[in-house]
Amino acid sequence: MSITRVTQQMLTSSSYNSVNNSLVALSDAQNVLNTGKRVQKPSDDPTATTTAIRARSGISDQNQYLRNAQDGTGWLTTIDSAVQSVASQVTRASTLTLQGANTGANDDQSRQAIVQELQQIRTGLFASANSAYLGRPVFGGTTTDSQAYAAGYYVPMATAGIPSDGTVTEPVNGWSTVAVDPATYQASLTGAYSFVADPNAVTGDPNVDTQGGANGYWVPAADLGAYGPNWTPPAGWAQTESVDPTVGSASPAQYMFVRDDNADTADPNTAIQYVGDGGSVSRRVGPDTVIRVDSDGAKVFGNVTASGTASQSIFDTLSSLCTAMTTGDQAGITAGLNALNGFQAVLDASEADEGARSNQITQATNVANTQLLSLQQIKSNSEDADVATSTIAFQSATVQYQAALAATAKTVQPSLLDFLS
Amino acid sequence: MVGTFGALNTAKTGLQYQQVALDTANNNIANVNNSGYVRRQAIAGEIGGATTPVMWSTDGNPAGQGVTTQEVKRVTDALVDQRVRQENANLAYLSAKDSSLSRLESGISEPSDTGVAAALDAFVQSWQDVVSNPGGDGSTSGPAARQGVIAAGQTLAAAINTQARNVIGEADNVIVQAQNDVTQVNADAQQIAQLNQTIKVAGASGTDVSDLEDQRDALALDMAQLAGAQTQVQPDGQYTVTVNGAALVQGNYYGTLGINNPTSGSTDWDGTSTLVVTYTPPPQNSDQAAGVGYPPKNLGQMTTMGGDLGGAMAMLQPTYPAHASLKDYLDSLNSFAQQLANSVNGVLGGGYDLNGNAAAANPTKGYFFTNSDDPNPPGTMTTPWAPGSVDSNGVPTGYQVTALNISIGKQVEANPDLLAVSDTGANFDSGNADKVYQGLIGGLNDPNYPNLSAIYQSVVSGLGTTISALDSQTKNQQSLTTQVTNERQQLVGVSIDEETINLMQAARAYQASSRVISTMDDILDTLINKTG
Repeated sequence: MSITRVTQQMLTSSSYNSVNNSLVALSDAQNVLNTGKRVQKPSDDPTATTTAIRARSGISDQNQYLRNAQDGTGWLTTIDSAVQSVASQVTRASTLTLQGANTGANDDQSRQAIVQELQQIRTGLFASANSAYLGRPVFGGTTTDSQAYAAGYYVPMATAGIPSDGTVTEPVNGWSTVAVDPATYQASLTGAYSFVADPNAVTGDPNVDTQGGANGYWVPAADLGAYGPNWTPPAGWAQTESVDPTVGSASPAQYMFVRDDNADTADPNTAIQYVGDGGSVSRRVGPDTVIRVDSDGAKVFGNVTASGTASQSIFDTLSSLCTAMTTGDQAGITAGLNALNGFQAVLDASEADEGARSNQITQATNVANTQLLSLQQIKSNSEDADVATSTIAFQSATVQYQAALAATAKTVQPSLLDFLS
Repeated sequence: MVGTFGALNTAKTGLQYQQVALDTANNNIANVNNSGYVRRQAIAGEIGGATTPVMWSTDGNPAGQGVTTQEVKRVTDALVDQRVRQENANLAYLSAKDSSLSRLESGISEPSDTGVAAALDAFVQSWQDVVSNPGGDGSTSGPAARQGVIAAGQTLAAAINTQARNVIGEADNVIVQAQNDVTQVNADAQQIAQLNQTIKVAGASGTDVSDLEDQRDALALDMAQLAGAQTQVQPDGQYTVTVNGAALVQGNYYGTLGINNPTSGSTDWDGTSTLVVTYTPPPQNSDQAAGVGYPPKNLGQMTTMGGDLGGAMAMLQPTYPAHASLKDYLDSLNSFAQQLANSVNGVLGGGYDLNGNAAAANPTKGYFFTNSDDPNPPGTMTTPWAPGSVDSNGVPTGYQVTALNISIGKQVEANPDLLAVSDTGANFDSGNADKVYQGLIGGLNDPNYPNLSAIYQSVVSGLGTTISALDSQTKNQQSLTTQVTNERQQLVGVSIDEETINLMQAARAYQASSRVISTMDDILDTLINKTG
């Protein structure tokens, strides 16, 4: 419709509208400049909003992958240094064994020194096998224990050795020096202990007690449930009976491992048993990339899990070697040397494996970093204001506002009355 | 044949008419800024001879016998008025919806680093931290990670709660707005009925009722804006006002609207009640009993309407496409919260806690997300986890997780060791935590575990698209309304310039008529005193 009459109220209301609209545009432009954000609320640009939210989500994903990769690298570095240290100790043990095998060149004294060093290496390996990252043993799988390998004693479960005498609740003298792992045995500490007789237990050993005329060990009753009837000792140990010569002649029918965290790991009689659970620890370093970051202790050091298959551990090998060295058993020394060489090969393979996994993590880290950059670009493109454009928009909004004010000032004021005298 | 004093008489009618014209212009100028004012025009009528010549008629003055004020006309057009009301009603409907949703939108703070999306991202990632450090309180590593999941879950639940509370708070506003609208509509209807009566009676006696008509038009416009009411002008000049086809004003009778209060008995909107307007028709008018005009139409209850009230009512109703009302948004938010609870609880249900207890064997303990009102979450933790059950009508029974009440299970909160992050038993395995993570990002390839971030994105972008569309609709309607209003203003508005000209014109004409009288006086003086 063409405008035929223009009245004062039309002028006024259109002035209101135009001044108001310009002011709204000015305020919007100012807001964009102030916050640096082009998209203030979803309706400003629904598509960009979705993109921005998705990009943020992606950024948070990639950051998490990077964090996971960092954690995984921590595990693998710990494993790497442990394996390297183990490898050098095993090399040293081989060298010593070769020296010791040379019967003609060694007197008893020097052979004794070799045995002692081998014992120290065993302790050193025990420490390496329990290497931990952030409190978790890297060779222990998903165990809640702080150790992958524990020191203790194999106790034969002689048929006559398990009395039903569960009434004895007070640990005997000397038992208190045996620190049964409180985490594992907490429940049974207040409960019953069973006396496990061991005909070969040595009187005078503070860990050994005498009940009903027989020497033996006090074992928390719970242990018998956990390890007892269904548990068999390591095959290597049972076959060679070389770990503990003092108990070795007992019937090898059934043995249980009694953990003793105070046991001297240099003592070849001290058994070192894998207590990890064989589980695996993985880190997600990409949407579909999950990398295992632990190492199976049983594979690297040998030995068995509570329910797994048996293999002779490096600790058993060193124990046997010590015994063979002490007794001058050439066949035993040769067998030990071969076993050490076998472990060296295992360690090399393990190092290669860790190296490959480290590379995978590095690769994933690079991918995540690249993704992060491009996602930040996308986020910025979708929601950030372009300063140049926004400044120009702000300027033109200012000009528009001024123009509206000026026009209002000119149109509202005059009427015919101004021109009548 | 002209009578001797006829000319004086003619001049007198001129003076009288110009006086009226002066008054009219004066009144127009006085009301120049009165928005409800319709400009008046003094319509002149010529006094001529008898329209039917009769024998012996002495009325033979060919020059006419002067002027008379036929009427002081309100310069208005019923059709234009109707359009103005219609467009204003549409505008009020759209802006009621737009402003309500915009208020909601400003409260959801997306996209940002503080909204639900950011909280969801942090929550999802916190599960990866548990994968890295699944240890419990008793270990040297990891209690912080389990606590971290709980804390991130609390933040997320709180963010969802806040949004839900915003929606409900806005709905409460809308309800109050609708109640005010209904009160105002009833008051308007009563006044229009009274004005109908007054205008009819006063108009019949010839009194000027223009200012009453102005008032009535303003009220009719108000009713259109409030409830989309339509006004028809009856042949006798009375207004019949209908809402949704139901007559609210009929002659001097008026009906009333009522509205239910979905928040009565509680402090807040429950998320499902809608606004229903009830209608009581005017008492039967004897004038219209015979079917004349618009007989009362008892619609009983109305659930849709135009104007501001209609916009308010639409906010509490589901719409198609979705996301166009508060109800839709709350529903979407509720499904999001329920899916979140289903995903996390469902996957956790397949794991083992730090003590080696299977979560499935321990249904209530391991609930991660529950209803905050629920002391003992019902149901068993299965895969997928089922939220509160629904009755045959689909109405939730018992304690259902909603956006308003989603919270962290009290047992898990008190003892994070209960989080079933292990796949195998009492150990530091964290395979199930990774599954929770996968379940949250849709990585399990299981329709029961969709990508939650995508769900939330669609909720937000749906709202954004709706508001963006509503914004432009409102803007278009605004300019249409402005145009129609201008069209009416062209007709009814006072132009000072015009009135000044009218004033000058009338003043000059008044002077001229006066001059005629003095001229006639001179002539008569000559005739009477100087002749003979």
